[in-house]
Amino acid sequence: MERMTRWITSRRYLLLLLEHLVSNPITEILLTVIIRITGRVLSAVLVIMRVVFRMTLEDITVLLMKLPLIRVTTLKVMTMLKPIMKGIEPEGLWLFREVMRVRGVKDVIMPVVMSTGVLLETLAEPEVVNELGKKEVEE
Amino acid sequence: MFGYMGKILRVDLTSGKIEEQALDEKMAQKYIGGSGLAARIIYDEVGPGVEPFSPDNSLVFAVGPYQGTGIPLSSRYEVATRSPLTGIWAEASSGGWVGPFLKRAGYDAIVIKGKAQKPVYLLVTDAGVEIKDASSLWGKDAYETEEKIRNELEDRDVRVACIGQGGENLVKFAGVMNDMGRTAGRSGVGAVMGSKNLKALAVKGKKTVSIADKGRLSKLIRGTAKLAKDGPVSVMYNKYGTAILLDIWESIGDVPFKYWARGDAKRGECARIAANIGGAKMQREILTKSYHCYGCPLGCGRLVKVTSPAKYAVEGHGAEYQSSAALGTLCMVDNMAAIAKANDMCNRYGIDTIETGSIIAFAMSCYEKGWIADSDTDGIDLEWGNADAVIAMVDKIGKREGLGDVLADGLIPAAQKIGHDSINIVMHSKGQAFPMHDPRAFPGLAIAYGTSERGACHMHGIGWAEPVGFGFTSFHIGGKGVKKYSLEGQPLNTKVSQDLADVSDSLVQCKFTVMAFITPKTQAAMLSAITGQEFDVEELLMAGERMFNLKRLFNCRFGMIRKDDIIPEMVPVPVTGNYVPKGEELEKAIDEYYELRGWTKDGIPTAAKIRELEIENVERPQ
Repeated sequence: MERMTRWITSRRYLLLLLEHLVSNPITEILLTVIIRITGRVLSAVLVIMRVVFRMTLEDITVLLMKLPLIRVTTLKVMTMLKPIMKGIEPEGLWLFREVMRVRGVKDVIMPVVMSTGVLLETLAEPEVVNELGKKEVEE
Repeated sequence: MFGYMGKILRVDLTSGKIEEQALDEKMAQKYIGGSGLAARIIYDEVGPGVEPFSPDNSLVFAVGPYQGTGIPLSSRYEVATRSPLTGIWAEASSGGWVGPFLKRAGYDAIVIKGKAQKPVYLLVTDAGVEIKDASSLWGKDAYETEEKIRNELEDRDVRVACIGQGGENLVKFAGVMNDMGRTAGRSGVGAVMGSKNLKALAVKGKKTVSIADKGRLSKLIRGTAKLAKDGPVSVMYNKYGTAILLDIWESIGDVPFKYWARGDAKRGECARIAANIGGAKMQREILTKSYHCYGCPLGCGRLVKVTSPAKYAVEGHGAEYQSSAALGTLCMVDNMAAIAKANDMCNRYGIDTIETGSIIAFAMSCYEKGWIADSDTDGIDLEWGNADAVIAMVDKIGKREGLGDVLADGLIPAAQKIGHDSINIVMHSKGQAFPMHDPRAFPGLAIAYGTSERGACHMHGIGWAEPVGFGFTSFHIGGKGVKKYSLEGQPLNTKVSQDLADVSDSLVQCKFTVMAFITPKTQAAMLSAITGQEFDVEELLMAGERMFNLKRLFNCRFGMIRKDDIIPEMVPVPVTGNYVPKGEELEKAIDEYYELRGWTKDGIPTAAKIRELEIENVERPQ
């Protein structure tokens, strides 16, 4: 995965091409349609979950995160992503910027992202950070 | 007292009297330290008749229980006083090395009153305290001052917090500078320092902080340090600096352009300007290396070098997001080298880049409308995008020359002098300029900017961060998220976010703790390990609310009322779907916010709320 990221991010022309594709009116319409459909499907699933199981996406995330070892492992994996994150070139970020500009994207992505505080707080509870600290010493 | 040095240093510059006062343990428990401790001291000492530049105004440098403990991202110190810019509560915070050194010199806070007869600086070490002559330093810029003090003391390890010529000239948004480019920038704390003829505070110490449970704390430190160093977002900030926000957030409408009057829905001029001065280009073209504050594994600081064109040649601290946007996008300047130069000049003069960029952009707006004529500018062409004009105006503001003298008093006095309709285009809260996050993109900011204790502020009520996932507020409001382009849910989000921010500023920790996944629960666990007393998040939130209310009561003392909590109406821009938080919707949100805070309809904390928060010895305006 790391090698693949490096390969992609080192090919600036590819990212620039993607950036321009995203900015192209026809691609933009297509992306908007896809994103809107995805958003609707996601909303429908969430409504069903709320009605049937009386659970929100955040509840499920919190439950999943409470499974044994999940949180320490997730945090460890996140720190292992360092080389990939370091390898991201500006064009990769600009691609993200252009995707955000596509009509409909902000409406779908931002409310989901707004809930990440819950994820972070659950993920990084003091005992989990402790555990990560202990592992650091052992290693 | 675990976690504290147990002493407050009091200095009267008029009489030269220096004395130590024991830190009250109960006070430390209730107000934690840093900003909270300073709030209590200033509330008690700065009465209604004390003007910001009066010798009776108190200037407080404070640290908290985290400094000197090795906790990541806790290199900061707080400066607080009554603001000459806003006339109300002022606080500013800075990273670097001064905070931990101040604490290790043996003090939790330094309270400075009076006015020296001639320029002085204060030397505080673990060996003693001395008021030293600074006549030879007066007139020097902040960088020269640091260097000269180190040379004079023949000690490269001494850390210096000082003012540049901006503070000396009482520029009302002068900050306190340290470590060659770090700034306690907002609210004019540096001008108050200048009014006292105090050029600098030099600190050094090797005292250790006693910790109740070292084993528990060290595990938490190791875990958070790992996350701060290798976490996905911190890695990006280390590589590109905070200016990367220009590159990626322009498209969501968070970056302000042309003094808050522009934002392109599609990729256009704004995107071009943002990309030309953003973190990515900085990293490729002028970055020499990134640097870290004391004990910080993240390292978002930039060192840059510009050699050409010669007029912009500069080497040193690089502009971060707020500075790049204020001196860049807000003035429509797309020249990264020029922004590096303007930023360097602001740092040397010791003036706040946010306020400076904002007031220059405001002047450009007035110039465009014909309210400022060529004869007013001494020939400087204040056209949008004129990088040389921005640099020339920074110089004039720092020296208080010509139009710069008018602008150096801040947005509202400048608008009153300029006249015409200029007062109606000022983007401010309580006289302090909006920081570089847009309430039209993140509506919660309309409430946060309006109700902030120190005037418009992006660090207290971080509504810009929550919606993009860099916040913990959602956890503490029962999972109720906030909605895009709506004020629904924002009053509660803002309240909790402001209380958490006050906790952070009393522990005195960097707001980027979010990137190190240092959650409020972890903060409570760390504070418990340090002090030996168990804290939970609810207690921390209550302490935060207590500090916030105390600062509010201080502001009420100076006549702050509901209308001061309503931000000016902004113009619609297409990038945010022409959404503007305003009118009845905003008034209703403020009503809801007051209700959540336990305040009256006029925005005054009720007697019941004051009792509930156990805030003693305060008066309520009737």
